[in-house]
Amino acid sequence: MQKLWGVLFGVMMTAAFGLFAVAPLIRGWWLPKNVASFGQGIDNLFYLILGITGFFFVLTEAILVYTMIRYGAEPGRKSSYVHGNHQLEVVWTIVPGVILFFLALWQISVWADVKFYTRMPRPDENTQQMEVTARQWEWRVRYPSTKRMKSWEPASDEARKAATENAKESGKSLDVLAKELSSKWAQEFGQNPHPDDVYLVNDIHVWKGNKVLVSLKTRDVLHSFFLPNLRLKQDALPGKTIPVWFEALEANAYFDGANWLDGYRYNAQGDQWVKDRNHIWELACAEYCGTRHSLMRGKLFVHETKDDFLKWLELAEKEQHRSTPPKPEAVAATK
Amino acid sequence: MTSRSFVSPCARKLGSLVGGVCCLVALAGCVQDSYPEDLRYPLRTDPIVAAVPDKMLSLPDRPGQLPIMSMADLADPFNPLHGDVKSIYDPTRIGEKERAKIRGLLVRLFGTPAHPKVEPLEDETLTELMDELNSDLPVLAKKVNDVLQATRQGSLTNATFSRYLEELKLDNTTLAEGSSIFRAQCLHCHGLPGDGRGPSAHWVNPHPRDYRQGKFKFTSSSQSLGERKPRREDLLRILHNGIDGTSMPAFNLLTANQQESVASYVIHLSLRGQVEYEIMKDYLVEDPKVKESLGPDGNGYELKKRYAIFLIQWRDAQLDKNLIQPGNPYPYTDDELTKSVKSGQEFFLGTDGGCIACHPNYGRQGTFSYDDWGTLARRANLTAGIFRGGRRPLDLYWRVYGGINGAGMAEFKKYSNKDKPKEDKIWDVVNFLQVLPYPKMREKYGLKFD
Repeated sequence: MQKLWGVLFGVMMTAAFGLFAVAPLIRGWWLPKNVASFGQGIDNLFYLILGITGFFFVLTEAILVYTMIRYGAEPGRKSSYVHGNHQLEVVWTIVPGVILFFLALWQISVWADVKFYTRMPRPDENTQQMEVTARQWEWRVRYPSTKRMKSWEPASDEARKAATENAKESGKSLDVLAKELSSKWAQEFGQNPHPDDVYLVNDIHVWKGNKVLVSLKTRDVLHSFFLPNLRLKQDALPGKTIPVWFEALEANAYFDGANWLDGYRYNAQGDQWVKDRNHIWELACAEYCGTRHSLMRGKLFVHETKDDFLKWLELAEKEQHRSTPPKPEAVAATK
Repeated sequence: MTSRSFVSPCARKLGSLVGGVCCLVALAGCVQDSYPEDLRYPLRTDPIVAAVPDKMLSLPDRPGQLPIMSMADLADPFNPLHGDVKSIYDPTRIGEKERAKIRGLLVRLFGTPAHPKVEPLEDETLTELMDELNSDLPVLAKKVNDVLQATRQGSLTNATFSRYLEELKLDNTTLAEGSSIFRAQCLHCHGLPGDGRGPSAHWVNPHPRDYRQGKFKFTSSSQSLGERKPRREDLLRILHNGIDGTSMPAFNLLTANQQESVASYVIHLSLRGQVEYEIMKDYLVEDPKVKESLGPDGNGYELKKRYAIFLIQWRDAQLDKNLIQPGNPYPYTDDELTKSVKSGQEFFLGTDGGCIACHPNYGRQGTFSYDDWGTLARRANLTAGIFRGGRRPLDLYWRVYGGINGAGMAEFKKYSNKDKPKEDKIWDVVNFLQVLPYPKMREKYGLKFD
């Protein structure tokens, strides 16, 4: 009768393994689509660890089930007293220890790529910046205006105008001064709000193939900025502004004439947008923050080109600077 | 050979283990969207606040506290409202029979949480109402000014009433969908009858809106303070963008239809709540007509009358003529803008606007006082760069022009000038408010600021 327990264990473990084996084939059971530049490294780590732990899982469970069935109690058989096997215990401590040590070293470069400040893109003319403030229970995003983004380029009108005004005083050449000023403006975006910033909620908009630097803050309690499709997770700590970076390699934002919609994939050969459920990319909160923690969601829109992104940003700016009520038909069109 | 029972002890243990696990799975239950069928809106028992005492306090309520949950709170000598019971009424003093009558009427008109509805009134009641309004009784005159305007367009019949309900999208299907979304997303803060006393409400400051007075803060309708109801777009905007600076999140991830259903449901809760509030208040101030109407021979006409009036006010707010339409002064030249910002500051500090009186030190030294809902609120800190009703110039204009319902922000509509928008004093204030939070901008416009 005791052997039945062994059989039960065997069945459960086989079922667990089976579920894992079929998971990649079932929609929504495996890893979400990765579109981050550093995502592949993270996924590779996952598979490596999965392989190692999977091997040991099968090994240990097989031994367990075998011994339960073969050596399960039977009437008339005496159990033998085994003192332990010192050598075996040393082996099965050292081997996992070595494996873990290896993993600890192996993962350093992946972690460094994502988290080390020195490897993050600098706030300059090539980096898109935004400030994300988490608060119960939403994500408030602050984008620079199109004019401000332009002013971060040394060749822009704003930079050259300011450089011309200050050239005499500083004694530096126009080019050098323009570069200094534009770079200073780019660096201070994350620190302070500006009067022309665009404030939106729960919508992260970026464009494809460009590095993005996010200044992550929280207004009240701990939250965690989690973009599964970018393999990116960063806790937001009250009192701190934490830099986070990523680069999206694929686009999902399709403009249908009135609004940008996510859940579309761009087919370059056919030059058309195709609906794709795997292209709905979410932002979620990954640190319990109160009643609506699970409802604290957002959407990630990756525009195909910088121009498309700027087009969206301009429309958002216009709405932010609205001084007359919209006409009723205009309101209906945006719904 | 020992005899064994058919099912051995081991197998029994095994069986009960498996059975137990299966039961746990069954207990998880099914996902249930709408409210339970037998649930009713509870009749209110929390105190009715008719007017608020003019008290200034330096601290808000402690976390986990609402100022007035029951009359017992007022008996507490440490409660700032202790002793100020003149205009705070106890609904539990209403007799059981009258409460039952109110409950019955409300269920007939507004349904239950699982099946919310807004019933149009019968012609009989509406004829009686029309007669009363047209006879211009002094006690009604002030309150129903706008209603008279509306009803003079024709007579108020069951058909027009139903049309108003359609315009406000208060049909049963929309309300049912709104009710299940409300239950999932809004109930925990705003409470079952929309009383702003859900379980999370005690821990959230500013406290969630209590819909039951029919007052909403961030409106763009130009009806006078007191009759003003929000326009549908105002409710939708708040739903879509949330309220920055409070715990109201943005629901822009709901579809547009879902947001519309929620807006309809909120209007339904507000109508029901306001009818309940007004009829109970008038009963408790010993209005003889109300007492008769709710008595054993009464037909509840007074309750239905109030319902009709509020519905007409809601419908009125949606008319195009009642939208605050400012003239557009933008774009300004640099000189014009500097002048505008400076004169906005003068308006703020001077005797015209005198905003500094209520927003001391530009709001940085504001104190707490009671708003119309009996909760403690502080005048906005205008240097924070957070604008609750919206940060667009248009939103700021609407706040200054129309004031803020319920919070005591006065209306400044007399200073507006739609025909010459560049001379409109309200736009000056709006420009000043947009500059105020940013130190570098204040320098640029040469504003005096400590």
